[in-house]
Amino acid sequence: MGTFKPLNTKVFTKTEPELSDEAIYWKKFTAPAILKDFGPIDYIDVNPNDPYHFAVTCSVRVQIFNPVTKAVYKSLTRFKETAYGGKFRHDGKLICAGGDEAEVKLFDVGSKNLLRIFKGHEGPVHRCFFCINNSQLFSCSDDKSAAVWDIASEKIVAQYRDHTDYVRAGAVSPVSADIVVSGSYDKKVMMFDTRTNEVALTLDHGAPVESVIFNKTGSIIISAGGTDICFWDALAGGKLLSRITPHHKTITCLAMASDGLRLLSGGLDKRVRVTDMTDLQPAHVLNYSSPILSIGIESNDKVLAVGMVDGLVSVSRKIEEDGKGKTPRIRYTLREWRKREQKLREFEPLQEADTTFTEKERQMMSNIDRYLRSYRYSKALDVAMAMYNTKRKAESVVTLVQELIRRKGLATALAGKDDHEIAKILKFFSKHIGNFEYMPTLIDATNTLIDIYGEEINDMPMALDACNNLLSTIHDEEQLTVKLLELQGAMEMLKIASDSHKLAPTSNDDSSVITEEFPSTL
Amino acid sequence: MITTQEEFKLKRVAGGSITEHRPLFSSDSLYIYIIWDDGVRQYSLKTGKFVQKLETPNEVVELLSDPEDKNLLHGFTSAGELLTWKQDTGFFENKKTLALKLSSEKKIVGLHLSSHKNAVVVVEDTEKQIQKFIKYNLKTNEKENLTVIGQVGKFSSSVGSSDKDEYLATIHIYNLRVVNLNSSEKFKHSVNHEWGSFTCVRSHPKQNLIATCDQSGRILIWRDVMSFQAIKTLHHWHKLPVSDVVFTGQASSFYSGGFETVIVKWWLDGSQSRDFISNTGASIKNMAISPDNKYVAVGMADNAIHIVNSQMDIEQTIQHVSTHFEDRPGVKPIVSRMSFDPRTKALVVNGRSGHVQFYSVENQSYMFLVDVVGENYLNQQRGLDMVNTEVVLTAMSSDGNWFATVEERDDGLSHLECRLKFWSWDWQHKFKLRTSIENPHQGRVNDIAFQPVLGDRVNRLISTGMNAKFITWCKSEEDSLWTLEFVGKLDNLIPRPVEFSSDTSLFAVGFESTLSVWETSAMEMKSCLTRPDASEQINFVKFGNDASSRYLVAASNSKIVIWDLIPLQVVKIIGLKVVWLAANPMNDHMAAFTEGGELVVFSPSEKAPICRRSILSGKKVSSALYWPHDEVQSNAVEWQRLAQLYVMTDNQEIFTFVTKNEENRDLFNPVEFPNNEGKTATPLAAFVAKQTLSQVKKLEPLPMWKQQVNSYQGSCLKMMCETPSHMLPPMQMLVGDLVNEYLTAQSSSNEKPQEFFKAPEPMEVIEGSSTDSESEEEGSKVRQKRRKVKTKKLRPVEESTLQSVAKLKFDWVEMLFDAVEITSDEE
Repeated sequence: MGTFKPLNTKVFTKTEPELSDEAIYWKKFTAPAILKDFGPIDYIDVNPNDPYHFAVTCSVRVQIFNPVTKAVYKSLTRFKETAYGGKFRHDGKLICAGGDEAEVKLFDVGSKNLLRIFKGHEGPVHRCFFCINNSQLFSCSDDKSAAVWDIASEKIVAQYRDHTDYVRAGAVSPVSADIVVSGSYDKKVMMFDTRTNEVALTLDHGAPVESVIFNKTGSIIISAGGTDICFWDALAGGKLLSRITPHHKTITCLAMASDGLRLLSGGLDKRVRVTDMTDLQPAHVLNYSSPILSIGIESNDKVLAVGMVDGLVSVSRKIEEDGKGKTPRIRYTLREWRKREQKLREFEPLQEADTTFTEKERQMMSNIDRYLRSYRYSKALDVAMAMYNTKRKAESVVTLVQELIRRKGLATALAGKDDHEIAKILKFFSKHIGNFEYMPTLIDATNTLIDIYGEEINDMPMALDACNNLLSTIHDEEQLTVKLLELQGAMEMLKIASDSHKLAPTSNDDSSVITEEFPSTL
Repeated sequence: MITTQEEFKLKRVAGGSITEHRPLFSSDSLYIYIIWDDGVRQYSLKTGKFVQKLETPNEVVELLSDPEDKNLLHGFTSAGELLTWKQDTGFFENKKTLALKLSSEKKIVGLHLSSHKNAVVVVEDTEKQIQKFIKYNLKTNEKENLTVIGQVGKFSSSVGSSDKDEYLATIHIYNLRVVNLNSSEKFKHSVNHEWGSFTCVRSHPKQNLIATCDQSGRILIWRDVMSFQAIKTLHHWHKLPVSDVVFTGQASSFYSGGFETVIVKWWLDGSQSRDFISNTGASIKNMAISPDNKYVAVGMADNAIHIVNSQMDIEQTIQHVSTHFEDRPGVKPIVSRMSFDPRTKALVVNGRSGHVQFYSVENQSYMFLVDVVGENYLNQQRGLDMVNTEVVLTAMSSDGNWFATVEERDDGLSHLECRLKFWSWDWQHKFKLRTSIENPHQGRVNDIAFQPVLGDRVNRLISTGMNAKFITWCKSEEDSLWTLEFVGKLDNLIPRPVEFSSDTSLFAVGFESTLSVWETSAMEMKSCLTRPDASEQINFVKFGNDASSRYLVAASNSKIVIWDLIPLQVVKIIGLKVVWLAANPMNDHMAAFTEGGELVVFSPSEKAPICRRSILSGKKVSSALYWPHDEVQSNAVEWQRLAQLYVMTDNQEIFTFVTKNEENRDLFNPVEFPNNEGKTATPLAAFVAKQTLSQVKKLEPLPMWKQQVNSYQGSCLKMMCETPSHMLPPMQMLVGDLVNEYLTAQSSSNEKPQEFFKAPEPMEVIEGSSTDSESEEEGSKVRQKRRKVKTKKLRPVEESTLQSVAKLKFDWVEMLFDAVEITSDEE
């Protein structure tokens, strides 16, 4: 009441989807820091313990970074050839890594000492994992085998040669020390039981398997390969629970996030997709600059590191909300800041007054609204056209024109303009008259303009030029409409033909109609 | 059914102007008196709330404060009665009937009171279009004809006083005439004819000062009017005719308002400075100032009274049914149909231009306005026909979560603007705009209807439009965006009414004279119903409810046709000129309103109408709806026991039908404060405690079931009783424990049955006493039930069966659940 309602340009702007809670959650990460390395980032693993160092395996080394400073904390370089799959032990004190040397190496993180070398594979080892009993290692190799090692003795406990192609993915069960899973380029996922030394399950993924993980409780095996992610029930005999296709290019890596409630998948389509584990519905998408090879995320989303083919690692941290972390600085606009300063300077009145008057807050409005409010229509149109020239905001001009039509002030606004200005307006009209949203408004406006300048336009060379331009645009639009209508007619004919057999004849039998009138009085 | 000719009457629920007459402030400037309906209503300025109603025998035409006793309030009725109340108590004091002896064509329209018990009665002769002024001495009852003017209008006369004399100022076209009330001396002042005729006159009560307004928007301030050389000063800001002006007490400033929707405050210190309140949304009808000069009451055309303080802020608004006033000369304002909001229990009607109002029928009060169009109200301008965007259709979803509006602006020169908007209920913002669709039908929208919400929460709306298509709109699952789902058409016929069946499986669209029935799930036309002689366009379509759900009722201009949907036959044709058809959602009744003001209540399945009465003659029905009662109203009219029928006329008055019994009491019970015996309901009485300490009941022992539960320490049963049901583990995990426990309890109770009646521990007594009586009552029911089970001794056979059950493994139950889940996943 008593306030001027500003122009609503939203009418002509595209609607944006509402921010979901999920999107807000994933937006609450710090701006990603980019680290550059030499080759493709093969594997990233986050130390599950504070301060959540993360190990990046790339070319001939495994580098451990501090997530806060983004500086290298340790660098493990005892590799002659390319290293693969650097993985922390659950306590974060040891790290194991495979490599092209067909060995698995075990390092102490603190001293960078090479503690053990596990020799026995005949091909490069791409993935290796600590079993949950911490006394065994599980490795997957290009020699089509997967092996379980005893750490203390450096001996093979069991070796499984059931795959028929490179084994490039693996996982250890988070609940049982005896269950390991491997995924191979032979499109199979196999579950081995070290107690029986046999293949417990064979799952057909249907595409070369790039990554395999367990869910948090170890009851579901999630395998990724091709563009599919499959969810297998590990307890009920490997039943396929669901198959989703979140990416349109090969999926390279999987990771569990949000304490097992979300699944992250990275792919060559430069996207990390977040999937809700409760309903397996897509929850969010994170976009990156290059195809993604590896994801490392702390189980409670404290640190997220994404590695890409061109050697870039994008690191971001979750912003703490409980006041423990850094409090985000409040950013004031100049106006807000002044107001705040003024508020601080104000003092309480000494006495209670009978009536107190508060200063009226002035309504902020744009220049267009200000001129519109004071009925200076011509000026308002000038401002809108100037804004269009700088910001290319067509919708604000069209909204204003519509408002002027509503206010019966368009003729006033358009009158008294010179050749140059009229040409500009006509140019605007001919550019946007094809937009179906603007069309009715701009047709009305063009009619008004021609009414005013119809006589004089021959004396205005630029405007005449623009007018001819507009004419040809309209002609083109007409042609297009005619063509579209023809197409629609042809399509409808096909549709009717296909529908005609469906329509059953309706029978209206009126013979038994009882026509009666209510008695007029009761 | 035998039709009982019950006696029922038409009762006005809402509507009627509160701004027809000038309001009056109380002498202490704390209250304001307003003339509305059949009485005078007192409102508080601080809260804007209704305080009390002063009953009047006849329609009050003028409210006045007594010039001598500040505590008296006068009301002057159209029957020539001067009523007096005390302002502080609201008690009626006396009534004085003025002996005027008027002929029937003369009508009393106003009264002016001067300070010396001299009254000037304003009488309007409607035939001759003149106003007559009669001086009436209240003490001696003498009367004297003062003057006659050929102008009718509420504010064309005013009484003021100078130092020694009192005068009556009247306006007549271009002339200001001043009559000295004591000496009957007359003065005439004229203005230039080019300025347009005068519209109103107002004199200052104490100073020799008169303000006149004219058609061109000028305000003239006249000084020294009791001479032939009056001094006049011109104040010109208004572009449109000014409706009213009011002087402040010391004549240092004055307020004016007119058709611009702007309240202007002028200063009379020669500075010509002005303050404004603009964009008030409606034109101004009248103004009144409080005795302490702090507030000005501004009566608006949309049936609101704004209380403006001296800083030009609107402090309070007293609003009744927000009326859609006529702003374009000769164009009747659009009144959209009523809908029913189940959430706020409000009738939804369009309010002032571009707004939709929610009106609570229960409290009989205006609730709030929703700004639908979001545009500034454009007031009329000289020589231009300004057209505002108006709300033409509204629809409320059956659960009250969604609200749809159609707004339209058609000035006949530019393209038609039409928008379909979807609003959702939001606790903070009341209704929040979610989706706005520009020009959904490339022309006018004829009708919109929501699919009734039935559990599965599919939100769908169908709109029909002049582009010969109907469109179904659907809400997307994840966000609150409404998008087009399906476009249907039937040849090139223009669809008008659309209606869903109560089970939502079907919907009917009336395409001109053809009725089509569609299946909602497949969006397929099931049947197309036409009568060979049909040429009239169908205006209303309703599905029958309950017993009549097989019938489809279509109403055109001259008849109602009832179709049976199973054999697809016409069952009945009733010749009625229907202007509105409403269906009762609670049973199979339908109410039709005819052109002649007739109400016909009928059921599609029955031959005779339930009720047929000419009750609305002279009123134009614009819409009607059935309002479902929460419980059966046994006092109500037979056919209104389940739902009340409300009718809205074209001037936004809402009526309903009540029996004699109901009329005496209010339709909805007023809130009654519990009154203790002997105590009066004074504010202080509220502080007196209802219960004193000595009256508090003694603690009762724990209910039996609780005692029993307490006796099992740490048992599974205890957990089941104490843990909220949603926190309990799955049933299959509890079964084993429970059965085991039951067996041990059984054996132990065999050994020492006295344990059940163990005295409760003192701690728990307190805990038990805190449970309110309701849960105790519930508890006792449970207890009785449980005791039946508990005390029953098990036979050895039963016991052994239970033992064996306890030994069984229940893993298979779990597996069964898993298996079910897996198979469902595969599907």
